[in-house]
Amino acid sequence: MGAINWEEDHAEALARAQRERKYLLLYFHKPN
Amino acid sequence: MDTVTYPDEQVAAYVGEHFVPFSASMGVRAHWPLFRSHHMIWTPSVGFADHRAQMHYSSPGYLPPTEFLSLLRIGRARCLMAWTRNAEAARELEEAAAVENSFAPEALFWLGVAHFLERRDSAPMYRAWERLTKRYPESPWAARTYREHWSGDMPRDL
Repeated sequence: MGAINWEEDHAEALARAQRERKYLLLYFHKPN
Repeated sequence: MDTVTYPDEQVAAYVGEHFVPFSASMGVRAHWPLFRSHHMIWTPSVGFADHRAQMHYSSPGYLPPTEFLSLLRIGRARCLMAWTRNAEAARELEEAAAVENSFAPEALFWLGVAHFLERRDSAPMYRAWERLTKRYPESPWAARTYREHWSGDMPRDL
């Protein structure tokens, strides 16, 4: 998925967002 | 999105700097509850949420890189505004409004809101909305300002 390093674990994404003081970009999609 | 927009250098750099990117796939059973909890009925869609999993903005469909960059700025600004970081939000929205594309009217609308929320002062909000209604008079975002309601009360220094 390009140069973006997507998290696939929601809980880890939330923890990272808190640690790094960032917001979440959520990408909702179907498999190709 | 995967073949054009996300690989774009500017998009990837902006996402890396400002967001934790999370991919929720209908192909992953563990992700299904997230579609429901975030009210997602269409793919692809993007959402913007805080670390408490509260989503503050979402957008359906495909977008080319230039439009998507503007969307990222608006989405980040909406999150910042939800956390009363209105001055930072206004800077993001000015950047989005400076790019002449289909998201500029929305950026100007929310810029007015961010200015108001920053100081509870309607004058800078009206200035942003004046820019919106002059540049994009036919935009649905201009209609949302309901100009007839406020133009008679505009401060003289506008």
